[in-house]
Amino acid sequence: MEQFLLHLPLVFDWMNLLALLAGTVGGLFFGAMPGLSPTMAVALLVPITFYMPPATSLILLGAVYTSAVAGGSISAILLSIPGAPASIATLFDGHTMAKQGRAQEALYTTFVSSFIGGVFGVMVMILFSPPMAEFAMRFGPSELFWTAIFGITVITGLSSGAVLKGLFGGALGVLLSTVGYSTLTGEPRFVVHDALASGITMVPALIGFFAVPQIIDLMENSHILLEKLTFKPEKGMLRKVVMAHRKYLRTLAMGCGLGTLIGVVPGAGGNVAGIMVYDQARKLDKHPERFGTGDPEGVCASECANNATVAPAIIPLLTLSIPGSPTAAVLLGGLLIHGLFPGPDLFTEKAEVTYTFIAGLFLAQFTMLIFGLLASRYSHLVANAPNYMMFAAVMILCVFGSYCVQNSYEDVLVMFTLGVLMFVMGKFGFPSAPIVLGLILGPIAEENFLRGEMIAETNVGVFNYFFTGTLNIVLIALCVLSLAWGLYSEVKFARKMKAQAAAQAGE
Amino acid sequence: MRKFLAGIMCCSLLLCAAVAQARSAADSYPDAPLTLVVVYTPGGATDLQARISAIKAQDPKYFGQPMVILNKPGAGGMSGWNWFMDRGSKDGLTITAYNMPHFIAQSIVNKTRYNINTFEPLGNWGADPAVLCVAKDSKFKSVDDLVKFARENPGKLTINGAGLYVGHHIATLQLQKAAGLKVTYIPEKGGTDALQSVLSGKVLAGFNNLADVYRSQDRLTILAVADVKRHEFLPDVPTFRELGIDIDDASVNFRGYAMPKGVDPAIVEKAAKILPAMFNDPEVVKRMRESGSPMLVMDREQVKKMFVEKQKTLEALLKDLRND
Amino acid sequence: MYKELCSALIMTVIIILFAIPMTDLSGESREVPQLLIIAMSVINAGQYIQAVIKIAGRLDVRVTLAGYPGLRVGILFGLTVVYLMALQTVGFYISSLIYFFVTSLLAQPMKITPVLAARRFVVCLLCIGFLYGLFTVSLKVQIPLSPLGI
Repeated sequence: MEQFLLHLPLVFDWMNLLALLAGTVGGLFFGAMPGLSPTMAVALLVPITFYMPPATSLILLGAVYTSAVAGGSISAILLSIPGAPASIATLFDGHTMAKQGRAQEALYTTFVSSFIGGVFGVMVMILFSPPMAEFAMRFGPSELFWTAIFGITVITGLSSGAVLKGLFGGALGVLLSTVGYSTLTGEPRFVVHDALASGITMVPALIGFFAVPQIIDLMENSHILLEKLTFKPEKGMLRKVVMAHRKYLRTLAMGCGLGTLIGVVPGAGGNVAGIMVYDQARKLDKHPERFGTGDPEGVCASECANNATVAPAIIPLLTLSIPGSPTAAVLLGGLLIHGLFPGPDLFTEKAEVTYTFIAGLFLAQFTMLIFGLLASRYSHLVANAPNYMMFAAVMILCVFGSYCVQNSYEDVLVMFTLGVLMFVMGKFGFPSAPIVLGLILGPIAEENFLRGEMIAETNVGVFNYFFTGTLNIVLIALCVLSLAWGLYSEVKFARKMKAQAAAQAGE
Repeated sequence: MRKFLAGIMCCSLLLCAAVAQARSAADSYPDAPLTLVVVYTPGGATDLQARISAIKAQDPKYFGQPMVILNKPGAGGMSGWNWFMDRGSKDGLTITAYNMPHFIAQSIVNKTRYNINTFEPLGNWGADPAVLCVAKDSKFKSVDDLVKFARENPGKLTINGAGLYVGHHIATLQLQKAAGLKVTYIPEKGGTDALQSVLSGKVLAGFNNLADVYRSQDRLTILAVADVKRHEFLPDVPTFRELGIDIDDASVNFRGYAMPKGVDPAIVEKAAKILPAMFNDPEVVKRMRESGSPMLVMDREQVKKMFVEKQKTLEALLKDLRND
Repeated sequence: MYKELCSALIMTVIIILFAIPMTDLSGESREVPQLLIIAMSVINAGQYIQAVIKIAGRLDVRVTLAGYPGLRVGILFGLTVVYLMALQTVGFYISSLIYFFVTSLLAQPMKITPVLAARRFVVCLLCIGFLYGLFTVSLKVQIPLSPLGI
């Protein structure tokens, strides 16, 4: 802690400060553009930081990471297109609020919650790095497998009223994730065309599933001229939102706590934290139906969680060289370029750079809050843009976003094809979130299952390997509970629907 | 009016496409920025070293043009190298960073559009041998312990590496053949993942890059290096041959530049002459050393010979693993 | 067409599309996909049952294309496909500019006047120019450019 306070003033060096501000604004912008994701933003900036001093470049990358994750909610709320997988859950309530004309409230809630989650995450990083790193080390193939399964059981919660289609979507997502060359056997699977050789990349798929149906819908409505929403900044909106957070204490606690834990687990990290916490918040609430109808608490849950994962994802990166999320993995490159090798050295010999970075990350939460709130005041500009220009604009951004992930034109084609398929399926009631979740968690589940199998066959045997060990048992219990609760609430929901229908028929 | 517009758009796009052919051959090479295709993700070992190797390209002593890195990751490198052969320009301005034994192994086991005959090597910059390591608290204190265990328990020794058909996998296959053992190879997603599995005891031993292991020395016991001679970064670590197990340098991770077949031979020779000097530039050497990346500069003729030798060795080793 | 029944049919089509290439796989690569196909088939069966129950109970919804602006969406969609095909040869920026300009004029409900068209072109040019400045100039992303170098 003392080290942190010691190095805090270093952040105020003019170059570092500039990096902090530029990173925050840039990150917000990147996150807000549909099609541009946090991982890509950091990846694009890493080569540019080659020529900067180490502390400055890390502060820049950290600020971009934090703000991009929060910024992703802007396009989720306004356009119903998540800027990153982390923002998928935000659109359930956030976009509904926007349609009700409460976009500003939603955006304010986003940034306040993100701020709280982010600060909590950085504090955990400062105070609890060693034990958290220790915890991360305990996740071997079997533990990671059960964590992925836990994530997948969340799918049952994401599709009320269409459980079968949701489950099918999840399975389809996992199946899609197997396309390409298997890491474990080297065999090509489902590679019917060269474009699929490197598999279905996550960000283009995300863009395809969420944005393309929206774009086609915009085409349908492109001749409609909406009345321009006159913008009156509601006085006291900010205060109202901040006060409302007092009521969300339990959700915030869950978001921060679960978000931090998920963030530190190597692998998916922040991508799924938002969805998982949203789902858990809903399941544990007295009135689960209010989630999805435009309740700010839903936005709070998702955003608090996804920003709480940012700093913890970097903990195992700095201490053990294992990134806790895909974006952290790109950050590893940023570290190596400056000769900063993860490990104890980072906190002793290179302490100055490391702690300046951590201090920068802490301050980035504040700049994100300030600039985010500022940006929200002008959100109506986007909402007022005419439909006949929007669909093409969004399409172009999606093309750029899909291309930039791997410099691959094939990704653009995959994005569009998946998007058109999703458009058709969406018209028949298939939800898109489960497919994306399956796509993200599938590889983690499968690889760790097969790898675990390979290892288990040489010592304790497959059953023992996967079903014994404290961490394994805890995770399995969580899966079972989550699944059971999901099915139970589904039955309750079905019964209620039937009762409603009966009541209506009886009148 | 609108139909007319739609027609115009289609026509104009098609017209532009038709114009897309003219590209006069350059006499003085290079006359435009060069592209270095790196088939791995930014921030990885190959990407990092490639960027360092290219920093001085703009210097008039060398190419006089900047070298821009283009990352094309996917399928362990296969996507990028296939793309390179299909769409890489044949005017000498598109170069790729090759990774040996990866690309040779892949071309033997899978149907790829590249192999040693489609890559024109220009020069080599790095040689990263595979080293066998175990966690500090492991019960194995030497290679002999490991071999004894494997002999008594066939198939129960788990050795991991950063993927399939990469240097680590080759080293494991060689170990099996040379010492007459049966071990279980566990492919991981990358070098850092593999190292972590070894450190946390999920697998009993692992082959990994010297560069990565070197940085985590305090938490590992390094048993042996799979090369023909000891390495200057780890002077106390014996080679397998010294310990009586015949493993050569087939698993060493060589990295360098190559052009696609079909480029004007004069351009190939010119580039090949510039490279060894560029790789030996003091700035490049300094940065490589700082990032813990071992270097070995070789020229075109040496690399061509090496390709042929490795192809023979790998074909024999991988005979049983073909994916037809 | 009944919604639930069609959903079930869509599921079946997807399962068949994946099951065919799956026969080429073997060993470990096949384990997980096979498991998934089996699970998906079970879910599909459940969906058929649900569809039948809903149709019998007159609870299902009919999905029709009536009232859908098929022509407009069709043309805009078609132009989008042309745009995607042209990206690599013509270059991202030029094709995006043309696409943006033409589709926004085609889609708008107002009459097109030369002044309007000229203003629109400037707006599109500025937007695409901004993307150019961001991606190619500042971030140095290797976006495929046209033979003209833009």
